[in-house]
Amino acid sequence: MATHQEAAVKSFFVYCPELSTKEGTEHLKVLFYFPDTAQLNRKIRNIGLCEALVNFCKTFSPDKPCETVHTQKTKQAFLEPEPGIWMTLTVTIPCSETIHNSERVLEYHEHLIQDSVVQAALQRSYNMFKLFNGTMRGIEATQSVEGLKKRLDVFYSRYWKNIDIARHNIFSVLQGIPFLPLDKYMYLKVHCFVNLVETTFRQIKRTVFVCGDQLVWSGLEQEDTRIFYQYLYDSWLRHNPNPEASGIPSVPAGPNTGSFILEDETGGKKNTWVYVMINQMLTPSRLFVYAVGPCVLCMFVQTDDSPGDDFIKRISVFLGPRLMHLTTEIRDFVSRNRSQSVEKQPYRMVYFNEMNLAIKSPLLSRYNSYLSITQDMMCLLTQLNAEYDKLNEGETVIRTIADYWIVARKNGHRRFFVLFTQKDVNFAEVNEEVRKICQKEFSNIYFFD
Amino acid sequence: MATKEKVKTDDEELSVQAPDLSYDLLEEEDSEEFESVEAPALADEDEDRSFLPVTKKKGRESSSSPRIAQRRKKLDKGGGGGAGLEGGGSDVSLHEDIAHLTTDEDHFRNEDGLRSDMLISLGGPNQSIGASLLSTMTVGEKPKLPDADPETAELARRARMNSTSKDEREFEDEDVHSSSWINHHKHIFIVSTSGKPIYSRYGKEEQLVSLFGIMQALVSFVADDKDVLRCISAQNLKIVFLQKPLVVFVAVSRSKLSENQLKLQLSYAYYQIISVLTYTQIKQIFERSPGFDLRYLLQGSEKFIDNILNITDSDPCYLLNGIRCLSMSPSLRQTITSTILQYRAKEVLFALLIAEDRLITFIKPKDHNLHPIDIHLIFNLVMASTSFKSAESWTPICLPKFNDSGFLHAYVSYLPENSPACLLLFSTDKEKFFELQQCKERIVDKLSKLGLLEQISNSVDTSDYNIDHLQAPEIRHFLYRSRKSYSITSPTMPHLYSSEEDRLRLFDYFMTMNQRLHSHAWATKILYHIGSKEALLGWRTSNFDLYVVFDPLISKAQAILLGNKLIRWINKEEDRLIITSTPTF
Amino acid sequence: MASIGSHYLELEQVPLVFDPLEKTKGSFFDQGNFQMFCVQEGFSKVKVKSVKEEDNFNLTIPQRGQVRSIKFSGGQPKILSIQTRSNSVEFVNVFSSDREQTLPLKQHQYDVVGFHWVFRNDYVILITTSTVELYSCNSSSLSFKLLKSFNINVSWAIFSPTEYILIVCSKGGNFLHPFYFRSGSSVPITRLPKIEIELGPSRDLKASLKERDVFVMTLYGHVYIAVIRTSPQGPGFGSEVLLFHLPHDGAAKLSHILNMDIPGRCTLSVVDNLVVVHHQASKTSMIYDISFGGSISGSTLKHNAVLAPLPLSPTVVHLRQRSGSKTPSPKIITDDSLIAHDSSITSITPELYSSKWIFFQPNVVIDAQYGVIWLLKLNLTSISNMMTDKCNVIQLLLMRSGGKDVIVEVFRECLEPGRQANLSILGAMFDQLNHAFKILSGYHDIGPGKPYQNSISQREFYTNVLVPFSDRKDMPYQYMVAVTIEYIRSLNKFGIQVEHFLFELVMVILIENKCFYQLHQFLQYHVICDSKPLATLLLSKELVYSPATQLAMDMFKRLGTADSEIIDILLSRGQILSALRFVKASDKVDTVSARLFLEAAANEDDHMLFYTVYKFFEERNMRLRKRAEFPADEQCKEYEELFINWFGGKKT
Repeated sequence: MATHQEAAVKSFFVYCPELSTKEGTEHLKVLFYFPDTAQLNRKIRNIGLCEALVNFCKTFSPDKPCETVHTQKTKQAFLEPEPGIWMTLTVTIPCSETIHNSERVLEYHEHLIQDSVVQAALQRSYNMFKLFNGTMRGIEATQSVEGLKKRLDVFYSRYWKNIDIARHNIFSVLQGIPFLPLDKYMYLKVHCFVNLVETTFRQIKRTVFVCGDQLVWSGLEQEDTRIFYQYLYDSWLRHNPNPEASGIPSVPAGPNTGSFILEDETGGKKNTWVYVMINQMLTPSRLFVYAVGPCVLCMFVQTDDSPGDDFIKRISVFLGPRLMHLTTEIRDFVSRNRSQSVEKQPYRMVYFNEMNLAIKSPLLSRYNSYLSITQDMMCLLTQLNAEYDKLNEGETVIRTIADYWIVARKNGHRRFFVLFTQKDVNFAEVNEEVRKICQKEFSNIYFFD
Repeated sequence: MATKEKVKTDDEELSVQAPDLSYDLLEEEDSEEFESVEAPALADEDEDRSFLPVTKKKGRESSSSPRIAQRRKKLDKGGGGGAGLEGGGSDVSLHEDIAHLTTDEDHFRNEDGLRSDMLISLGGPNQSIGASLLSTMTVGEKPKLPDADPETAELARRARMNSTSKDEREFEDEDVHSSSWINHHKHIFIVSTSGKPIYSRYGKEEQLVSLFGIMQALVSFVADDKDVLRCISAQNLKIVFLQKPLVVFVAVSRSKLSENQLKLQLSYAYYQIISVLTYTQIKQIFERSPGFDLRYLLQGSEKFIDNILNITDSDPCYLLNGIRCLSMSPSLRQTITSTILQYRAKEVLFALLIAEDRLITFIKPKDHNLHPIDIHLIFNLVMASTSFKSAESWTPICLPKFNDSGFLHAYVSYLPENSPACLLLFSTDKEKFFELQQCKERIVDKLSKLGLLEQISNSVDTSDYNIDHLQAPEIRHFLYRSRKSYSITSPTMPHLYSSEEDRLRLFDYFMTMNQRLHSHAWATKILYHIGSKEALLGWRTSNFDLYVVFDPLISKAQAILLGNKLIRWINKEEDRLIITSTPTF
Repeated sequence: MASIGSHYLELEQVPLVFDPLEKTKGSFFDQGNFQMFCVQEGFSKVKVKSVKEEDNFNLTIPQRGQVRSIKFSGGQPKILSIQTRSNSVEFVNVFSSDREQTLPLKQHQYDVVGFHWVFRNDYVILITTSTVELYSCNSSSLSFKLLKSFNINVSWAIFSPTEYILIVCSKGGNFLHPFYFRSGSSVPITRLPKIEIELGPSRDLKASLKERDVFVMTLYGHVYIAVIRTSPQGPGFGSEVLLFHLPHDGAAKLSHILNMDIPGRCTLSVVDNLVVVHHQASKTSMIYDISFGGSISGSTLKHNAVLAPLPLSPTVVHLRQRSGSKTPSPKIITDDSLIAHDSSITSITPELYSSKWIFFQPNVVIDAQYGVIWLLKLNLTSISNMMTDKCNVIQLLLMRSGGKDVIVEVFRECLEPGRQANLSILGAMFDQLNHAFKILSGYHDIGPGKPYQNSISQREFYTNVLVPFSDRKDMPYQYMVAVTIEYIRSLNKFGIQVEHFLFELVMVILIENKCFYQLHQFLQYHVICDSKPLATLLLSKELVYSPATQLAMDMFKRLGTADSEIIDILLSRGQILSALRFVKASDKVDTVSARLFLEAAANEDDHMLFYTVYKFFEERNMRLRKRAEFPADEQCKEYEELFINWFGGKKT
């Protein structure tokens, strides 16, 4: 295989058909188009095509709009995140050049980029925008279409540069949240600490407590938590790999004396606006993130006037010692219980619970690089996962041509995938292995075959 | 380059899943030249004028066709014995027609040459399939066939028209705006690259002109980017596009079929058309007038398209690329085969004995092949035709996998004593009606002498089997496909699966398992799935594909056990259940 | 109750009045029997007053001049003991006959310093100027036998009738000789090692221990000898109280020192295990709690007063002069309704800390001027209000017998919207509370237990503190949850099994406020313990929060005892195959009721499903009984029929 081209974002655009009513004004529909380098008429043409596809699909599926389109070279995902506003993401299918009958031909590996991945990436791009800007219609209402265009431009032209779609997989589709395994009392301590913070500083409406790259507590609603965690992970946790073996990474930049971390999108300021649901209302609030070692405390602050430095000083004075003490306790706890922490299992497995978005997988953890998994198999997992979206429950056992075994299982909103790479095992043995894993991992929940 | 891309990608996608398609793509290759044809205004044209380009000798054509029809009537009327005498006259008239058409043949021949070169260069994938039913052949040795001529095509079309009952197509008059129309399980549309409606499975094409227009527009719009539109999906809806030279096939499906399986189904529609018109015809017609309304030439054979679509929707064999065989005692099958071999006339290229959609036996020359798809088209011809039962017939048919540029000529006749078995003899020569007729007579005589006719009928009645004696009630159903002989066997559908819904589910199971086992990306040896209503086992080896449906509560251990038990039994019974070898001459 | 903040000690009047001092030839208070003896003119008439009206009577005793001491024995018969002469004590069984019997030690060679009954009427301890003698007493024959005698130069002695401790102070030195009486043994007296008291720097020889400065008291079940002395820094530096812990055997040792930075005379009482120091000059009192960790110096703890000194609460006495009786004695009126309009009633407000006051242990206050007796009482409410450190309040209250209600009050105060306490403080208070609960409920595995008098159960806390707030509009639900969780945390800290109604409260609040995800996290971390009631509650919330089902199922699963519930849920949801799989997984196949499943399957109106289920049990029948038919007792007849008319016989 001579050259190989990985999947890449070809284009992404946001458009609003109703903005152009008469011929020749199509350009008005375009709210945002990536890459910006494209010619206007190209933009218009592609958007036109998308509209056509969507409408054509409507004739047969009036209520369920068009989701994806495959061409030989690309996969496209469609989304109408807000009434009348459409988003389209186009991703090129990975291809490689081979010699076929002494001719150079391109081979497209369409299985290496899954629909679910493209759709998830699109949905996520919207969620992220919303997290930092609120709804598009909202912006339009307050700042007119031009204002919206500006906001979209500021956000997305930066956003898409940092997306490496080829690295996306089942995890980016599930967008699960890893929870730090703590015992009841330890957890209560953390929770009571959070309560203390919130009751001491009434301006703090919500709090999220993360340890290492695992969530401990979130006062946000579930969807917000999911999005916010993703943001936190991408922008902070991921870049601070764990020096300790303790299973919970410490955050080098967050000095152990504790300090505010995380500049906002534009950098500089110590706090940034985010839009999350508070009392069933999408509310803008300021985000403060304070870290001690591996422990990251995210506070969603609501104040009429911008909280001055004294506020920040007061918080850090308050948090510093307390959080430090708590951190030590958690560290000790984790190192005490490392043995049963999921990092240690030699299984290439993924566990996900739709109900609380909890995800468990050694593959996620940085310390399990030895659990390598080929891109092919990763894609197969992604594929199976997509298939299991449609199933309420069931189990699938697969032996691939390469003699890998994959077991997928879904039961009561929980799904579980495991890949066995040892070639010499048979069906029965695999079955037994899986039974063992479930015994070990899920004995305390209603989850069985 | 662009063309290569096409070849390659589709090939990679399909070579495992549905190898036959890789062959079709050959046509796309040289079809490039037609794609530039821009769509003409959809002005409705007077049939005659639109037909003009096909033949310079309109007068002669029109004069000949009545005679053909007339002869057909005689045949129908006369039936068995009388045919000989009556046929004599008609033969002459036929002869004349052909004599006058030679020039056209010459004209086509050049192209044939061109096409066969191309065949050589890309025979590879095709051969692997060609080898399917019989011992392999060397690539490119296509039998010398006269390229299809408009008259034969016309003849074939009328044959189809007359062979089917005249009543309306079921959904022809459905209101295309009604929700029932929108919600059909699977729409199939065929449109010319110039946007002309060719076929709609449901509703009158005339009512859908704009829809056809859009479909064509979408395709060409994407094509402008040197890209190919393949599939649009919304929740539980798939719209799949199959692009053939000059013709676009579209499936709007709510079924679980994969994109590739839908493409395969679409290609069945395509081959059905080819079998009536031949590729050469279509190509020539659209060359002459891109805006030509192909429906004129398909008149009467829509039912065959309807039928093949309905079958492919319900009978898994078609999409699993295998032939369902009639199970009968090996010795009986043996004697029948040898009898046919023994009495075959030299003009006979292929001979098949079938009972409805099940193959009893067939013979073929050493160096030629019969592709499952071609056999399915033959099944379709026999099943969709009502007239064959009442009389022997002589009809042109193009077997696209064998050779899509010209016609073979089929002598079709059911065995006497209302036998359910139907004998088909194929010849390359349209003048060999009587030879084949006599050949048949000889075969039948012998069979009846041996008292086999009755045995055949009996074994047809008794061929259905169930697997109770396996003492494995947990096995509800299975389907076995030999990867050597491409023949398929499966027991009678259990009484439990009497409802349409349940049968459809089984069908979907087979399809999804097949999709997984033969997926190009992640080919699978073993697939075990516990579903809400059944447990499934898909098992692929170098010799067979096995699909088993179990009771949903069965334990895995037991499933493995029974899977092995089942395969042991099938191996033991193989000779009875399927055709393991095909004698050649 | 007087206004909060002015005082924290109150006088509770005892319904026992006696003739004011000037009307008698002497009054004697017998601590042991809580009786007052008022000797009339002529020394032959004695009025005996008790708390109960009917126990009041008059005595006639032999005329032998000035009565020096008079008291009854305990037990039956009650023997009257009188000392009239310096060197003899006489005993009379006044109730049986007039036969008078004096002790054989008539004309004892030494003067009698004091005498006390020990163990009802069994023994008498006699202290003379040079000896301490123990006699056994035969109450019927009134004969006495000397059991033991110690030679000590006695200057004075004090006796605790409750603890049976005798403290003798020897002449000259500052030595205290404790004696401890143990019933049962033939000679039930033990002499304990003597204690020398450092009387501070003032080295003048005259300085010696005074009887009034020494007390025997019981604090938290331990006996202490309390000695008031001017602080070592010398006079003017205020005085301090030394507390010597007195074990029943072995030497007493100084364990606590109570600092009072005010000089001058004072006396002590003990109320509910608190030491109360009354300071006459300033007419104030202060309280000390030795259970509060004071500053450690060597082996002793130095304590400061819990609160700043304050006077006792003023009290009023209503008296009515009895007309008619020739020896008029006042009667106490407690019924306020009378007081209003009754001219004969005189209300007097005794001067607090008057010189006429006499203090008896542990908390008796006698006003000789008016002839009234009070018991000293704590006003816990004002104490808790005056103390700033809420944790100390809780601790203090936990160790007061009457503290319970006040504790509840304190917590209510802390939760009151507007002045809600900081969670960290609340947390500490909870820890106090639950520590006490743990100790009192008999766990000792958590270190040295404090001498708690009471604590609050989860149920009490729930109903008296949490519930009243839980449905108050002005109560922010986050705080409500925070408090409850804090409480739960504390319970967990002490390994106390949390009761389900607390979880229920949390859940209900969270659900009401749509904080489902938060609730979910609690359950996920098993903060909320599993129980069938909770699982059922969750199940009922399915409509508002779909994951509730999953959570409930998990709970049932963990409970391990709820398989039938799980099966029911699955069946009720039509997930019959899942139910069967569960049955298989928890290998109960042979025991479940086939009818249950067949019925459910039949209701689903899904032939295939019914077929599957039916076959499943048919197979079971085969395995168990070698025949496919259902036994009669399984009552599956109708389903057998249904199967036949759907699928025609047993064959497929």
